[in-house]
Amino acid sequence: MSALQTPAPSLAQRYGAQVRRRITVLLLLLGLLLLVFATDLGTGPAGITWHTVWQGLRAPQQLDEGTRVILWELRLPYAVMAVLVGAALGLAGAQMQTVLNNPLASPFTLGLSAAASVGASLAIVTGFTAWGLGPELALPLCAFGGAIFAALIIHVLAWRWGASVNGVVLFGIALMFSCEALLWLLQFLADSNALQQIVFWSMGSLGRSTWPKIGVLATVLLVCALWTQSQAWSLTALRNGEDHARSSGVAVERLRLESLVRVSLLSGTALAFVGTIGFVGLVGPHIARLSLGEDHRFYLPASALAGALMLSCASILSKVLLPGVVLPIGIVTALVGVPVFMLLVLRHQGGLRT
Amino acid sequence: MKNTGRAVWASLGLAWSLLAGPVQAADALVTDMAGRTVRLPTSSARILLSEGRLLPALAILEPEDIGRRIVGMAGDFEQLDPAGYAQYAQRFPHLREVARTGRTTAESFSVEKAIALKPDVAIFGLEGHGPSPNDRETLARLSMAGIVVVFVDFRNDPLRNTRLSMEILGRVLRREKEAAAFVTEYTAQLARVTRKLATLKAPGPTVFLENRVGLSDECCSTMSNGLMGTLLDAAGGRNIAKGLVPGAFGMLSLEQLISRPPDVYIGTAIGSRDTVARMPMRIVLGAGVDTKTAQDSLVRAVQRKGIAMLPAIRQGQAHALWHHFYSSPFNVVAVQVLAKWLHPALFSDLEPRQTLAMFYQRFQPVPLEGQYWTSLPTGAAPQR
Repeated sequence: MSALQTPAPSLAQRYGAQVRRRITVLLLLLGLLLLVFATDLGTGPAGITWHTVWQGLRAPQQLDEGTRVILWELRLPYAVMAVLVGAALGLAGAQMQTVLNNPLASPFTLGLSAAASVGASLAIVTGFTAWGLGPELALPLCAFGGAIFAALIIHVLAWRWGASVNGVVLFGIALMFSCEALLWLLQFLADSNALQQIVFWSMGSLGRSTWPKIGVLATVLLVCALWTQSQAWSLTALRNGEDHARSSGVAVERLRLESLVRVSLLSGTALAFVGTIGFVGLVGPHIARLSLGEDHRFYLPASALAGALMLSCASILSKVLLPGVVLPIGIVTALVGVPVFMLLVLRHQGGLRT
Repeated sequence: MKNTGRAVWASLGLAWSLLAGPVQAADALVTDMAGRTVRLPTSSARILLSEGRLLPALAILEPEDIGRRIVGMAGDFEQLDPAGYAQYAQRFPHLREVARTGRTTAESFSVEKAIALKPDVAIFGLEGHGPSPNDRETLARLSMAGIVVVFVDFRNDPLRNTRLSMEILGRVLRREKEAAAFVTEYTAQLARVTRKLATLKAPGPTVFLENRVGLSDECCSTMSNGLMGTLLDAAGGRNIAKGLVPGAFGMLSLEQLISRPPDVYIGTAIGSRDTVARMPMRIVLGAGVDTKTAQDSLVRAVQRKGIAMLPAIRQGQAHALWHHFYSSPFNVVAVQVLAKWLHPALFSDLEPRQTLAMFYQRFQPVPLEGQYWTSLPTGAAPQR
């Protein structure tokens, strides 16, 4: 369009500039994530040089066995898992906050995470081995089952109530408290071996990452991300108000239920593999919103990137703070996220949506 | 703080003894492992245990009779060491009917139930799975009900406190002679290790002590200061967790373990015969476990990712020890076993199995059946 024409093209230009700015922010986030991911790979008690890491990634067969195992079986899966889990939780939180029209909504606050813990604890206390598959699979399976069960309850109630926003949020919160009570009960009943396992599981750890688990989570994340992205316009419309969305032809109830299905899949899978990790699902979306606004075409991937960034930073810190010892990542996550988050809030005072 | 606490307890004890009628002689007082001065109970016919695993310690003093005198105990013995409990339950069938005052955690201890059982004396562990000296409300209520609470300790500082605890128990049960006999034997057996180690100039081999092998699929839980770590120190091993893990136990990262591998691998065994199928990664040791089952379980456990490639495993320097030695009065046998593994030439004449057999024969109402430690058989190291 020509710049000589008056009002309308100038609006288009402004829009174009805005889109370009948002794409730039998105690329910046991606670049930052790559940088942090590389740092994560280069950090660890073994003191492997950057050069060796780079060589080892390109030609693993040339490494000695110890370094190869450290790089390919420990550092790489942990780092990739951190990115995937962060992205899954960020994406889940983003759409949850939109469809529930509530800035406090996240897989953690609505009880999905507590329900996953209940599932895992049940498996630990009963010694369930998933029909001979062994505890390595029984635990994630039960955690996923717990999260999905909780999501199903929310879905059924929301559906019966016409998917009203407040209903879903209140049910979620009630569910969270019930699950926490159940969790305490299970901890009370557990013997000391099981108790230790439950506590450690609930603190979250990347130490359970294996390539097959990464494959499962990557697939779920990819499918859900594409599916969400295809509804980005409807979600943006919903953000402008439920009535507005309805008048634009968005089937709000259906959108809400589909989003909740994705949220359960994303957070259920992520939490099943690493244990409880709060905060990322809540704050990732806020960071995205503060840095590039609420156009869901950009806001959704940015939330995923912000979540991944947070968890990657947490992974680095968990290795640096107490070298040689495993510090549960769930503990570190909030410590990393809070300062960044507060900084953003202070810089954009009033920009936080209420 | 501790001294004021002691003074308060002492004066409370004194006040109680003045109130309680006939003035007790000074020798009717005993200082327990929590530093509290307690008046000895007039009778010990009814005994409450905060941990079922204290039973073997009591049985050292009263091998014939002890089962019948227990009126309440926590359920930790049968839950954590089912095979050992089964031995005791067979010898003293009455134990199966004994009331359980809690499960395996301090929070689950029921004061009401404990008081209702009308014990003369309650024997608690300093730390672990029952009420601790910090549970002041619980202790105050028990003493209001006229129950004498005595603290013993086999796990916080095992090599020092085992003997002191046995002497305290000897006074409580009025079995000072039996207690002295055990303490003498214990001291002699410990000296067999410490005397020779003192002559050693070179530092001992480095050791990775894996805590509760097979409990979770994550690596690598370890013990550092305290529990089995103390026994390892006494046996002349250099624990690689020292300086990294500040407390009694923690998680060592697998990367740390691979990049600075230990000379020797030692795992603690929490498996029993019925966990073999369900939880195959647990090492199986303890009552009723034969040599082959034990060895096979160790071979399986060291084939886990990361552990399998440690030089210690490939060179056959891998062993496993019964986990409950950390709270057993026979912990001195574990010190002997560790010492022989770490310094085979120095302790070639030491036969820990004989020591354990002697302890069982002289001080236990149940026979010694089963393997309590095992090593990787030659040629069983995982293939490259």
